[in-house]
This record gives sequence, structure tokens and C-alpha cells, in this order.
Amino acid sequence: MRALKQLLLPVFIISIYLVVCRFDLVSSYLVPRPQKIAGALLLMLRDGSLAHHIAVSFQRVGKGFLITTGVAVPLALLFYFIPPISRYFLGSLHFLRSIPPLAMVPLLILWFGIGEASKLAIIILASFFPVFLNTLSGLQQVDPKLLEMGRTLELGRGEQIINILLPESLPTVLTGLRLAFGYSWRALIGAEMIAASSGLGYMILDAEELARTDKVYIGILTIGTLGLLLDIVSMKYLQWKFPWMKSEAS
Amino acid sequence: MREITCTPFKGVEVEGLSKSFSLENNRVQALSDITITVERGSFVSIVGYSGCGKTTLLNTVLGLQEPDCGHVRFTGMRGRTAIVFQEPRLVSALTVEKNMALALTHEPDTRKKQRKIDEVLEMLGLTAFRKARPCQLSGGMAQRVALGRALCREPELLLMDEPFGSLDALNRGYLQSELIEIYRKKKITILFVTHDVSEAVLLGNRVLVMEAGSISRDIPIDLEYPRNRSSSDFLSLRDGVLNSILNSNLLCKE
Repeated sequence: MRALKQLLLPVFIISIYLVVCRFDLVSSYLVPRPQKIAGALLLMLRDGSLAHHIAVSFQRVGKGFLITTGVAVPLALLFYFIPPISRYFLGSLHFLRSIPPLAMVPLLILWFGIGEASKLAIIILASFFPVFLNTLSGLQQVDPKLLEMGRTLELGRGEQIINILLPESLPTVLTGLRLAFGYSWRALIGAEMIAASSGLGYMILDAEELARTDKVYIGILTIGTLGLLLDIVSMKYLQWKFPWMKSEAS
Repeated sequence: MREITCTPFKGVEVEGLSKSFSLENNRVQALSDITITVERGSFVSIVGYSGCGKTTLLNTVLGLQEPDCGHVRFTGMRGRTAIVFQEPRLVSALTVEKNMALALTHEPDTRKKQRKIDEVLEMLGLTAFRKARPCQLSGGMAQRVALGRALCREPELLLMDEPFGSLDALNRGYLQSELIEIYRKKKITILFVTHDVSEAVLLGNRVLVMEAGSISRDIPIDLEYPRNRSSSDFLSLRDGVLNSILNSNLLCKE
């Protein structure tokens, strides 16, 4: 029933789209006809170009996401265990957080050139703060009484991190990772605007320059669909792997 | 300060223990010059009003808080302690079994570790719940897991800080009987803090009455286990403890 309710809005939009196309209410350049989009999609699936763009984009998001996690999680642990650090750096981090990653594009091109590095930097900038702030807040929310209990069991610092802090903060950390993945995916288009020759963002911009609105639609729908599927798959995986956080994560 | 020594006396000696805290620019004396001896294998209940220093005494004996002066000495014992708090303090991400395994983190022999966990699960009737998570347990069940975790450490001294205080009467009665069984079987030394006088008399073979950071009365309870709450001996002992608490409170007010 819940799934049906969620389908109502897409079905409504598709119905309007079909009506607009059927009665030629809007120019076919602005809103391409379904058969044109389907034809282009089949062609792109057959020649493998869509799969190639998807693979390239995935690779970029994956790399950026891994670097973000590798930096943000240990940094949050450092901030948690050495609170004076927050006093020196948290203000600057909040300043950086309010800058949209796309505003950094000109500088990133100057610093890293037009290669992969600048694209990765945008993805990292977009995904860093959700991971860092959620991890820090997850750690800070762990009940100090649990740590006291750990001390009575003579658990060392490392044992407390592994057995109490990380498992207890996991739901919040995973929510941060999930958010970050969504942000990375969205930042991708901006990243691929920087002189890319492949990827879904490039595909959309290239289609725009060639006046192929059908391909623009395919690119947008692909990004949305993949984002949604990834979210559902990651959610299902987390619920299977960590059943106790079912209610919190959903 | 905690010490471990060897003398003919076997048990825990608390000597001249004092502890104060600063609270909004005021100094609060939580413990003042407490001296008690707890013989190995005895069950000592500590009763008193809220804020009289019962929990601070347990925390200091456990080593969670450093005393201002005085010391705790374990004689003829290795000083292995465990505590059960008022709330179960279970790690929500871990199963019952894994929560118990936390107490055995330093046990290198995994088979021995598993055997110990199995034994405690069996003893507390938790075997069927070994894979359950804390959110799937009732309050009584969760507290039983906390007791199991403490027992996994094979403590010589078990400290219990109002462990059944938040449970309903049925669960409390059930756990009290279980605790007596465990005590009689294992002969662990137990320091049991409670504000329930009946519970103190039902469980302990000695009741210490605490008042404003010091021990005001030390009452032996010479009744056989299991005790009958409605027997005249039980009732007269309970009334005696209750009166001594009320009297010491009146004296303080005067």
C-alpha cells in the first residue's frame, strides 16, 4: 500500500506528459515524445554508451566517497577524543560547510587542473560534511554510562571504540554515509562539467550542445533512477546487516 | 585507593573513606570517614535515603571514583570486582551473548569464554535469548543480562547499585530469588545498595544503614535462606531497620 502511494505522483506526472505529447501542447524540442526517448535509449543501450557513462560516473563517485569516508571518520574520532581540537577547527569547518562545492570549481581547476583530481575534489567537498558531522554527533550521543560500564569491565581505549563507541554510533554514522552518497551523486554533474569526456554529467551537457533533449531526459532519468535504486539497496542491506537500527535508519 | 594484601582475614576492608564533591560553589560531603569490613562470602545490604552516599561508596570501592582519603583493601582476594547498575547498560548493537562476552574481552581461550557464557545463560534462563538484541528484551530480562555480564567476570566482589529498583514487583521478586540462589551456590561477596528496607533484609546477612555519608547502624540478619517475608522474625528485623533509619533521620533534623 505504501509503495502504491509513492507511485501516485510519478503516475500523475507521466499521465500529464502523455497528454501533452498526445495533443502536441508543447514543442517536441522542449518535451520530446516518448517514442523518441525510447528509441534513443535503445540505441544507447545497444551501443553500450549509456553503460559506459554510468560506469565512469560510478567510478568517480565511488572513489570520492571512499576518500571522504577515509578522511572524515578518523577526523571525527580525533575531534571526539581530543575535544580542544574542536575549539580551534570547528568554526573554520562550519565556514567551509556553507560554501557550495560548485562555487569552488574555478579554484579547483586552478589548483588541480582539468583532470580527475578536480572532479574528485568536488565530490569530496560535497560528501565530507555529512559523514564528518554525523560521525561526530553519533559518537557524542553515545551514553557516557556505557563507557563507564566499559571501564568497570577493564576495557581499554581501543576495546571501548570497537565494542561500544562504534556499534552504538553506527546508525548515525550510516545515516551520514547515506546522505553523503546522495550528495556525491548530485555533485557529480558539477564535477563532470569540468572538461570531462565521459560520465552521465558529460552526457547531459554534450546532449544539450547537440540539441538532443531526448538524451538530456535519458541522462536525468538515469541519474534519478540510479540514485533511488542505490538508496533502496543500501537501506535493505543496512536493515539486513544491522537489524536493531531498522527503525532509526528508516 | 585500592590495595590487595594477604592476611588471615579474607574480605574487603574499607578504612577512613571520605569523598566530597563541589556543587555550584558548595562542597558536598558524600562520604565521611567510612570504615567497614566485609567478610569474604557475605551478603551486605546498604540502605539509606537518596543522596546519602550509597552509590558513591560503591563507585569508590569499585575504583570508578578516587576517594579524597582512606582506602579499600582486598585481603586474601585477587580484587576481581563487577557491578550491576540500576539500569542494564547494554550495548544496543550487540546480542545478549555478545554483551556478556564484553566481560570476557581479556580471556584468550575462546572455548573457555564460550563455555562460561553458556553456563551463565543457562543459569539465568537466557539460553533462548542469546541472539536477541537489547531492544527485544523486557526490563527484567535486560537486567538479568546485566547480572549475567557481571557474573561472567567471576567476581569475588559483586557490587549492585539498586539493580531491581526500576522493575515491577513480579520481576523484582523473581530476580531476588534468583540472586539468592546464585549467592548460595557461588558464595560471592555481595555489596547490595537499595532503598527498599524489605529487600535489604530479604537478601543480606548484614544490613548497613547509611546516613549523610556515614554508616549509622550495622545490623546482622540471622535468618536462614530462603526467607519468608511474612514470618514474625523477618517482620521484626525489617521494622528494626526501618526504625533505625527513621530515628537517625529524626536525630539529623534535630
